[in-house]
Amino acid sequence: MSETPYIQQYLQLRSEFMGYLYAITRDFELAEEVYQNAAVVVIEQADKSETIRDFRAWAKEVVRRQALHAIRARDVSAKHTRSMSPKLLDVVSSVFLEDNTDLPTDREETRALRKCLNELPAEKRELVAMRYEAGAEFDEISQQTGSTPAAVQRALSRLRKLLHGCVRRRLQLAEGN
Amino acid sequence: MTAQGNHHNTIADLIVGHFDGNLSEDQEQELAKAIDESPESKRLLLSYMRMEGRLYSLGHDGFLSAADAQPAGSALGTRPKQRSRLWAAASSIAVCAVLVAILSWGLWPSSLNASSVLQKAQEAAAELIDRTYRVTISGTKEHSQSREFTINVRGADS
Repeated sequence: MSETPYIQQYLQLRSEFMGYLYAITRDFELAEEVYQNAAVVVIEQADKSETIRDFRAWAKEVVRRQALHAIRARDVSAKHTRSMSPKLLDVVSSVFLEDNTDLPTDREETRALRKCLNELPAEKRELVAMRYEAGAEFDEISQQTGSTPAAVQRALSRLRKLLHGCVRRRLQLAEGN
Repeated sequence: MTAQGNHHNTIADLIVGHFDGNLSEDQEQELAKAIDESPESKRLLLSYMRMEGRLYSLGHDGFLSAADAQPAGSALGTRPKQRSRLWAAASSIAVCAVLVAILSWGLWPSSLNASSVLQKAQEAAAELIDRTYRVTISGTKEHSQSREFTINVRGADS
């Protein structure tokens, strides 16, 4: 069992949790809200006397439950026209729960991603920043770039694939060395 | 491209399409089936999912605006506003800490007295400092001669 406080362990797992939360909500704001609600549960747990044997697994379950609750609430409010298929939701959740990537690998992947981001031309990097840093929607980005929302979406999809390929290649190279 | 490569690309397209919320119900079923049945598709989803989370986290911490940038805001966002509040709070705390340090230092009883400080000041003023000035005087006409002077100024004890 780790001596690190629960909330600190939780914060260290932020990327992992946010990846899952975005995958099932496809909404940055909702993903962030769920992440913060789960953080409250983690903080409350720290006050209890019972110890958690596997914090990561426990926190994942907290995040998953909070997410499902939030998605149900959103679907009821009918903000989105069609909810994600339950089958897909299940398989994405099981991939998340089964993921046991260790911390060194996680750090190596993050380093590779940062290097790949640095190789992007400035305008593409800015596009990524608008989406992931500013949390802008496609139509907001299109207004800034003088493009259409569909074109922005296509450009970001290509960038995701490009970055993914770049990270894989870098990791393979590192393994080879 | 091999059949395996094509399949990989199709699944990657579906995963990215899913993140963008573009998939039809049939495509969602296709993706769910692929992930459920193929370990390779499962790995692919996981790596995209983790990358998505990393991009979000790097953005949240302000590391996306420029190459290996320091945290920076953007013209568009809501989250940079949250961050700027955090920065403002952190800056305020830092400023308060500096002020407290300065006040504490200023109010702390000093081992020096006024006469010793005055004496040090007088010693400093009497220190030998030579200065050399070079002055060049030139005319405005094209062929006019220019003259250069060197002026030495001796220090206070000279």
